[in-house]
Amino acid sequence: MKLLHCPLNGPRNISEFTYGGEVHAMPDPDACDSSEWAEYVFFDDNRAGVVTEWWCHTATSFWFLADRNTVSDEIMRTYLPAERFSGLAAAPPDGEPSS
Amino acid sequence: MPAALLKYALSRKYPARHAFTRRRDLKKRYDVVIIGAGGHGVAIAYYLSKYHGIKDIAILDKGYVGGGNTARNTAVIRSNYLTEEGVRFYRESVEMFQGLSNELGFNIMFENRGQLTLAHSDAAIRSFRWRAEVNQHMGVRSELVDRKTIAELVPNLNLSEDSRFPILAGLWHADGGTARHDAVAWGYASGACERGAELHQCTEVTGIETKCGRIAAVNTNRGRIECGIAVQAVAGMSSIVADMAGIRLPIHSFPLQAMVTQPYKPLLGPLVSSPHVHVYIQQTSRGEFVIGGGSDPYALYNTRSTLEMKETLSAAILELFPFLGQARVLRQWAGITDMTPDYSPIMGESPVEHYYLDAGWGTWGFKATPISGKTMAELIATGRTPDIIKPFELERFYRFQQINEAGATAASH
Amino acid sequence: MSAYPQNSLRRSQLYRWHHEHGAHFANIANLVVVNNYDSERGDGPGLCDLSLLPRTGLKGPDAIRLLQSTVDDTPMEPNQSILTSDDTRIARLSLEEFLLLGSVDFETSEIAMVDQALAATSGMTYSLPRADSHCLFALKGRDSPEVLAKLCAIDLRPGWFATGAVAQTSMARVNAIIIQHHFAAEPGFFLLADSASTEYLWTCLLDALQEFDGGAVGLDSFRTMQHKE
Repeated sequence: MKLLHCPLNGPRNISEFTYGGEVHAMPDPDACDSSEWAEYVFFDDNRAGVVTEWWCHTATSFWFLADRNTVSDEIMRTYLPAERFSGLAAAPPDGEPSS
Repeated sequence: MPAALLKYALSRKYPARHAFTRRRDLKKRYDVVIIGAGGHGVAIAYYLSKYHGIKDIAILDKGYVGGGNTARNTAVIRSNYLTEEGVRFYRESVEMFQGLSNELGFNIMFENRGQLTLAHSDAAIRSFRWRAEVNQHMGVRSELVDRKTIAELVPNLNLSEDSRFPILAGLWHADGGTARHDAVAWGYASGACERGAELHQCTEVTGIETKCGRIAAVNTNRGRIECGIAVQAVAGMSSIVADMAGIRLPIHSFPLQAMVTQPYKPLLGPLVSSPHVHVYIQQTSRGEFVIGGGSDPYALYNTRSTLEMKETLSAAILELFPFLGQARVLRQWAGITDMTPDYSPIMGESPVEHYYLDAGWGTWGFKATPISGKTMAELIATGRTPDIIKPFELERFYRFQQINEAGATAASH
Repeated sequence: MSAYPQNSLRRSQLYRWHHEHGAHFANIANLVVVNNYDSERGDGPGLCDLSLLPRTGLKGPDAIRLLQSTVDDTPMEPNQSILTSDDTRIARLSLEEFLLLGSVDFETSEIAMVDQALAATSGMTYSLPRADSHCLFALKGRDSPEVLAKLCAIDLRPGWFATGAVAQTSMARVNAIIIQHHFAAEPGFFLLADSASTEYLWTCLLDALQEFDGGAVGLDSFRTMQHKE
């Protein structure tokens, strides 16, 4: 079984995790038009290569980020969302699930 | 080899038939360039050349004809979807499959076996009743069946009430069936090539040129091709190819794994599927049991097989057919499924003029091969999107008008 | 006269199973629990249904402060637990989440104290009781890490999984919390899982126990252990 390193729980079988999709920056819902919102909700970059994604350790409902290669399936790094969103602490990061 | 056979093989009276284009150089320009020589791509070329008189066509594929998801899918043909748009579309596809061997003059080995989807919960029964109503209204043979009927349809199914998820009822779809997936691609491809379309295998598209918002040319590893119209039919690579044209799609690509056992004598007529335990099965005409499930739990452009999926599929199928406990798995493989948010395809116009999309085929692409070829050809030839695929335009996501087939798709295929 | 779970307002989801398997019930702290079974194995590892055991939980930025002001000790790191002088097992499930399990003699007072503090607090602390949402089993005996190895991917042997260690993981394909605990001198684990999976998990564990000559045990088995010491 493939292992994923959870920042809270350590290395675990990847079947213990829920995939949360690509990290997208949320447009300002009050300022953006409906097509921008549609793209945020439905569209994906779906890139072949290293991408940053949300993952959740299901048994603890613990959300974190992972840099993963979508071609080789290699997980480069897992880390806490605060690392990426620390500069935005005053406002909600980007509306993605955070904990 | 008997001498008579050798004589026949060498005789000029019976020249070897070259089904596809023999290798030749790419022309500088084609009226239509089709990216992807899977079932959909070659079907588009077939209908263009046969019914619309458009013969200046290049079908490009980085591999070989029908070598991608056409070869990897599990050949389930059915039309028991939930939405009117979906049922209308797949119904016509199933009808086309029924006559396709005659149409192509090539045996695609279509078999009308019927398909049974199992309900293990009250909620599933409610949704089956809904689907049966919609299907019947649209002229598709679907009905809710009880355990007694299920036992008659599939005598070796485990109907024990002691299993973890006992079977409560089923959705019987008499129109369901299967066909030889390679034959579908070969039949369409040879039909298109006979009429003048050129099939260029081992020709990988590396870039797409647009000019003033309109398609201009396609770059390949064998050179640049100008074109009047281009269409992409590259299931598993839709986002990557669309990105070459500067188009972003609502697609997320996941592997879907399946496996096949050694062959047995005929034991299972209908195709059987259980969305609840995430498994579906059919016995091929060769006798092998093909077993598949849902897409992998996370996105990936890699067709590796995993032990955990083998375990999951095995555990699930043993719930339904305990006699398979002694069966040996011969092969396991994966295809890449381009999943859309609403489990419906993306067909028609794109933001680039004269660049058309035949994408988002998730786990439902093979069964739509004939209708996609026919309707996309009509769109290319007339410039007008046929009504039957109008609901599947990319534009629908900007209007928030999804065609939700999630419930009628998951692990049923 | 023996007690009947049918007469009690609060009962384990497994009470029918217990009854069918020759359980003798007893009243403890107004709860009807299994004392022992007709044919209880003595040597192998034992599985005990502790679903009625008092427990509580709390979560939030101020949870640690509430806990520190109520009990005498708290675990420092996530996925660790400590035993208080009152025999309460306090597990830290994340930086801001705690789970408290009463002692197997059902005589813990700290659980009630924390619940009172939770009811009274105006801070950022939320109650996560887990009394109805989760089932709770004890698995004890020298072989218990090997029993769980059949159902779970974490290495729970003593050298790898320290006393009081916590693993939140998948067990027999359902989410579970595993807490290392010594029941008197006997090593073992507290196991918690979603109550909807109670019967399923109980059956899976009993199946895993067969190989080790283990089976279901009642609360008496904890008492005899203490006498042995």
